[in-house]
Amino acid sequence: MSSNKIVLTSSDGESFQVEEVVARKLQIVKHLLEDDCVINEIPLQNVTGNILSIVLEYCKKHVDDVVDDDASEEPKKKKPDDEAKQNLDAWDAEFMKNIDMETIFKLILAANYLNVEGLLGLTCQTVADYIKDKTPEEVRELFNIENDFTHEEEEEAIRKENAWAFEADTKHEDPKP
Amino acid sequence: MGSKKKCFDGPRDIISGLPDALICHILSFLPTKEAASTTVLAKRWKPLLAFMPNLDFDESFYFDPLMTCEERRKGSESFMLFVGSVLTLQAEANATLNRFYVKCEGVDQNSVLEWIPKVLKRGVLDIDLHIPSSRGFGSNSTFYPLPSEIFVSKTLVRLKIQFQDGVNVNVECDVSLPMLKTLHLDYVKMDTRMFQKLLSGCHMLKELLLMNLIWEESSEPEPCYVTVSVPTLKILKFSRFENFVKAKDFKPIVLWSFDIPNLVYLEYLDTIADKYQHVRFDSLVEARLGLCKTSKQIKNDNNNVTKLFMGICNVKILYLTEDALKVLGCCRETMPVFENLIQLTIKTGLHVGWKSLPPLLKNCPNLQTLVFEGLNHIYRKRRSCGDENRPCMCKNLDNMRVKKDIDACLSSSSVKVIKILNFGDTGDFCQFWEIEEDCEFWEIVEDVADHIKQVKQFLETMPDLEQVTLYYNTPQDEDVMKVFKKLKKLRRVASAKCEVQIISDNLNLSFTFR
Repeated sequence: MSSNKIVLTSSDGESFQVEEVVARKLQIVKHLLEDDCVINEIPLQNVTGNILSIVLEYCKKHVDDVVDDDASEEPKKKKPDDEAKQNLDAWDAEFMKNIDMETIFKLILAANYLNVEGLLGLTCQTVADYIKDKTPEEVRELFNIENDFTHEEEEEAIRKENAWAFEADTKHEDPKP
Repeated sequence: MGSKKKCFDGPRDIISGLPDALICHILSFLPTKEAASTTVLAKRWKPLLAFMPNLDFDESFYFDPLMTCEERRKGSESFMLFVGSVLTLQAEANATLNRFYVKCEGVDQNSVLEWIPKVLKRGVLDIDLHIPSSRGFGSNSTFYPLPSEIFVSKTLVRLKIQFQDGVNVNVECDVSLPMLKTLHLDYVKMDTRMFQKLLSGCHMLKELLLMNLIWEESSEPEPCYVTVSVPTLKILKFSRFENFVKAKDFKPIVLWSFDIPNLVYLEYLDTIADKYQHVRFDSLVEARLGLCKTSKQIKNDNNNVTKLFMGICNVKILYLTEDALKVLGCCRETMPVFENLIQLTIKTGLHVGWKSLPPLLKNCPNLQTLVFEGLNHIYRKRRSCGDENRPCMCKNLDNMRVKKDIDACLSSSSVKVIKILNFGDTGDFCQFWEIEEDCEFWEIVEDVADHIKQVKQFLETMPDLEQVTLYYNTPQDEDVMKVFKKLKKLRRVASAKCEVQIISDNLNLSFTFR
């Protein structure tokens, strides 16, 4: 792969020049390039400049990721370097820590539109971690969700059907391996 | 998750504005129990449960040992109801299902089996059912028959089943699992014919794990031919159910063939087959062997075992159980050379001698790391020799002979690192074992001094040693200090640069001889 540079332009006219290999982390770009046309500039209509710049920051860091579509539970002989993976995970955690909630959601939408699998997973996992171990009341408060159920609806229909899902999970505190 | 994000100022609820598929994607990172509890957040969230493609029901996480039996039963019932209702909801919505994981204890295994056809119908990719047994395997296990729909699934990529009371594989139809890459059955009964059928229907199989397997008696005439010939297979783990291995009267007669040129990892724990017809592992990197002779097997039939060992002689990493070590001892004259072997782990046992160790070590010209699980071996002492006041010398003589052999090969060994796990773990009881070879009764008596002597032998003879680590599981610090001091006093070491390290519950000591 040559060291071509490609220009990606956001919906609000901001342009970013990146290496082709970085641009290819956006599957949407990768598919365009595969059609064999020579493209130097790609307009991306559904993402704003500030979000696109964050996406590209992620892509630059993860440009060497090996796509593992053979995920298996058993120990593999050719494991990716554990230390390198730990470093990358630490970078990801730090990366997400500095982003506010509203931007995380915009990133989810952008990662979905641009089709950047790793970033989509990372952002969704981050939101899931916020939901984890919280009561529904706490989740509503965190995301400003309005409860439009009547009290009866909430109690009867839902908790009865999925009673087990609401069983208090404070009994067993230790995290399972 | 210590620092909570401050929820943003405006009354905007962005998350509910995301498309269904994205909310479901977020929820797929949660166990299904938590994801299902979001159905109560608001009306917009309620229908999403129907569209979650990855179901992960883990009841065991919520098992509280302090619960009463009644609470436990109610909890399990509630769990089963929940899983059932989620499946029904999803089936009605015609939603895709990728993953179906269930882990629970003390539930009706039949009901769990009934879910399988339901999820298969929806094109599930990955099934993992784990009903662990907290009491160990019962002798009255039912071995539930797996529904035949499993064996003709066009979508299944991964199947893992581990039931407390076992499963039985027996289907009339042909097996066709064109997408299956991983098959893992733990505590399973099948006959050899079914085993062959299974293999012949899986053309993309990469990992095959059959643990705690029991060969079912079939109407087929013996001997039974078992051929594992799967070109895509990379990992194979096969272990026979323990109790049967020790049984005296052993059926069926099995003739094995291994033709797995791309296999990288092998774990094989079994009685020695009546014959290994064909053994081909061109790419094997790591092997773990536990071989056992039944009392029925001819004492001197060594060609068989040799053939198996020849088949794995190119491995880099090898683990031998004490039974495998014993078996290897019987074919020490025909032992192959393990040219590529760099790491060898030996699991020792109180009833197994080490006479196979010298020839084995001699045949590992490039060995770097030697790991011992325990330092036990059999100590000879003839029952009728000598008397109370003058113990017989034969014990020492026999040990001496073995010792000389070992010394000779140790001093030409390339081993750089030795690790001894469970150092000091002696069977501090006397037992009488019947040994086939000499029909004599042996008394086994062992103490830490014997272990120290063994370590000394390594240090005195092995010229390339760089690191010897003893893992001594004891809180008694003075015992550890005793060993430390004794080893440090050693004068005649073969490798002065060697570092000795002792790791116990509380201490981590090391020294070098230089």
